[in-house]
Amino acid sequence: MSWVKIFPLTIAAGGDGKQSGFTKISNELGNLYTVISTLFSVTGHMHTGVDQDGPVIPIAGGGTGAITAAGALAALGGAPLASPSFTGILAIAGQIQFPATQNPSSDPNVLDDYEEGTFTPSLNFSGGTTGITYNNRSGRYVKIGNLVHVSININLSSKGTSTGNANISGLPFVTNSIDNTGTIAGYYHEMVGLTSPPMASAGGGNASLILSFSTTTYWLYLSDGYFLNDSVFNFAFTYTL
Amino acid sequence: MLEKSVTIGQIEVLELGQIQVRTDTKIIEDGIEISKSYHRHVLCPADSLVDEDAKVIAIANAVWTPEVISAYKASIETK
Repeated sequence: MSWVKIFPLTIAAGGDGKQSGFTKISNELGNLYTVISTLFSVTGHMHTGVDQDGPVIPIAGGGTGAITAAGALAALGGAPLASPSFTGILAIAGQIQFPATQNPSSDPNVLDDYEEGTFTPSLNFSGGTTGITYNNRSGRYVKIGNLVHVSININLSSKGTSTGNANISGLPFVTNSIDNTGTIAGYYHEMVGLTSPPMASAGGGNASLILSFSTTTYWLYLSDGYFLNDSVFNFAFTYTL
Repeated sequence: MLEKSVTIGQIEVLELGQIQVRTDTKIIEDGIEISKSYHRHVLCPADSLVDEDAKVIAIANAVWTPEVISAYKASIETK
């Protein structure tokens, strides 16, 4: 059983000459029950009581004690508040839950989504994947609003026979068309001829990254010739939707 | 009793016809969900639909008209 304590509650017990103090308190707690029922949905059912600290509402009936606001909070005796606002600090007991399906907002000051999960990255050379096999490959993502952060691990057992520029496909979300150039943070080995750590950019409109590297004067696409059969690269990349 | 449930939890079709698919894996014990995880992938117009869920295939076949595929490829080539 869980308890909800309501402070302060002022009751003028027996002051009207018609109700005893006990009856008056019971009636006031009954009214409070009605108010709470209007404000919240409660798992289980409620009944009222008083303990040494003041009035309480025990939640019984096999409930877990969770009280959640079912959508908009209702003002006392008034219409629902579609967008409750807080002028001070909003204290959260450790968790903020977003819906499984995003409720998108066009307001740049609104955080409207959080999600984490996995995806399966794939290496290709100009789209070709003939003979490419892996010792291991894995991807994880965290999406915060329209920002997606991915971490990718690719460990080849064969680079296959396809030729061309290296891309990594399989990102969890489609990239947008601007501001998607980034630097790979991570490590690589069993690759040949590189004059800088690999870089990645997302061209936009698809779920792929284009790999490249820098020279002293320019940059070059990272093509199949720079890979070995046991190439490994682990990195993280952040892009926007 | 523990049960594992793997379902397509979300299918999103974007403006250019790309389809974002979320696969939900849930572990259920005695009817109560005790764990949930997501795995995502993206299908772009004209991508292979081999091994895709029947609902995803149906949506892709409906959305990926020749016009949509052409427009998508043109969009990618301009980037």
